[in-house]
Amino acid sequence: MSTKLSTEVIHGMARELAGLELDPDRLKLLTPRLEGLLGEINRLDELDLNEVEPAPIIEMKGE
Amino acid sequence: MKRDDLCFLTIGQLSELLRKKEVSPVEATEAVLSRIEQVDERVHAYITVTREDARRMAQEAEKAILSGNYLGPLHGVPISLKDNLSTRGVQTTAGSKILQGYIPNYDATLVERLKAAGAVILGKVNMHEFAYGATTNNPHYGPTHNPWDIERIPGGSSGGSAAAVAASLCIASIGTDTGGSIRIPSSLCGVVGLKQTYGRVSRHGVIPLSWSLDHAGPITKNVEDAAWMLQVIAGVDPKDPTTRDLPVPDYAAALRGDIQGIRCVVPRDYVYERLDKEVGEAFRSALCALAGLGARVEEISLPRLAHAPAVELAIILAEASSYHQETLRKRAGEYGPDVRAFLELGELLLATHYLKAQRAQSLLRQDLKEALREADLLLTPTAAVAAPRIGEESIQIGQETVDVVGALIRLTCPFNLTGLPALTIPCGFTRAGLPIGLQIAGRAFDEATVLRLAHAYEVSAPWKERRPIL
Repeated sequence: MSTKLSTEVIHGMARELAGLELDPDRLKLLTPRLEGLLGEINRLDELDLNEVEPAPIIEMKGE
Repeated sequence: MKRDDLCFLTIGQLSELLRKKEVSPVEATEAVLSRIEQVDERVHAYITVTREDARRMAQEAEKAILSGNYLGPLHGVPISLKDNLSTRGVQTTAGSKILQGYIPNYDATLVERLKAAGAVILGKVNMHEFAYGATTNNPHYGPTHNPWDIERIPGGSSGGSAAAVAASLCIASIGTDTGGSIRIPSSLCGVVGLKQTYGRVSRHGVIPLSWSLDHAGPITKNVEDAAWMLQVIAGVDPKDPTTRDLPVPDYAAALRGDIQGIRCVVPRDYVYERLDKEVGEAFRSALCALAGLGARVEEISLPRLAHAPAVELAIILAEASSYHQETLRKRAGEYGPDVRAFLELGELLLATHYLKAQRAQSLLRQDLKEALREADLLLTPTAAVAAPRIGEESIQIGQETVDVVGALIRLTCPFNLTGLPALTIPCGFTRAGLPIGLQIAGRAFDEATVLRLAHAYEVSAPWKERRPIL
């Protein structure tokens, strides 16, 4: 999955979804970092997560 | 012994003198306060020194010991606390401007336990703001300096704790650890740091960074002291439902056991990827020394560990941004630049990213559980590099330029994700004289075996008396 993002998208996400106002300087700082981060998180798809439950759920089950 | 030299003692050494009434807690406390006066200007370990409280606690300890009420190895011993541990009546800033002037009206459970054991609290030490970073380059209280080279970072986030212990500005300290924040600074400052199993020590009263990954534990001059500290702070706490009601072993007694035949494994693919040459050499020498002491050391492959830093970061970002959500909207400009950026990034993650990380966390837990089914312990270097310079954001490892924080947390974060106990112990020095740490991790709630191997190694190490010159 591509993780290329535009500052406009981040601005909209922050404002509309998170209720956070980010000025252009902050957007310029955060956008490449978010791209890198999402790239790392999306690489977790290399692990076969299909049948895997989140760690806190497994913990609750005592497995 | 000269009074000034009391600050260089370990808990084990000092408590023996206190118990025999050869030294009083007041003398020991004055010696350390005097050392803080002389040296802390260069190290900048402390945010708040509670001189008068410390003197009062020392006098109370002296009175109790003289009247035959000796409480144990921490009685009358001067220690420091990381500034994210709530302390009744004493400013608790978490290294932030936002909490400057915040004075809790209660003690964290582990602070209560340390006080009940008779420890003398000297004050609160510096840290990375809100424990959200690995350098202790604090924009509000100034950077803490590494006592082995004051141009370099002590690591973080418990940098004040580790620097204070290394510089003998306290006999021992308490830090917290979410991705390596006890072990990284302990490694970079050449002291012992123990992150025990998740659920072994209460976090009630610890200002959170990431609820599911936070731990609190000791930073000490040697392994025996870590055992003494853990003995006091371990155990179930009704105020922290994540603590487990399990028996707390006699950790000091566990140090005396044999390490013959203890099976240790090294996850080779993860360890040797992007590792500084001198750190690698010291680590291999430590493995040889352990084999010489009777431990069985084998290499294994755990390829999925390569994803640990991404999993760690996704979980911390989501949880920390949730905790700080309201404050970020009202007081964003009062956070330091790095912490503010992390908090904003966390706001932009989706719930599905967080859950993907937690599902990957399950696999990492499964892998380490499997590895430790046959083996007793897992070994790695603690940090991939020795202490970087203050302000350095990237560092050279071989031909590659890597991010400092990434290089520092890569090897420690798997044990926050799995909750397994992990300890760092000095295993050598670079040619520039900077300490290198060996990380020893064990099975859940088996801190005793971790401490036993560490103690056996420490006794054989040639540098255990080496101290920074300040």
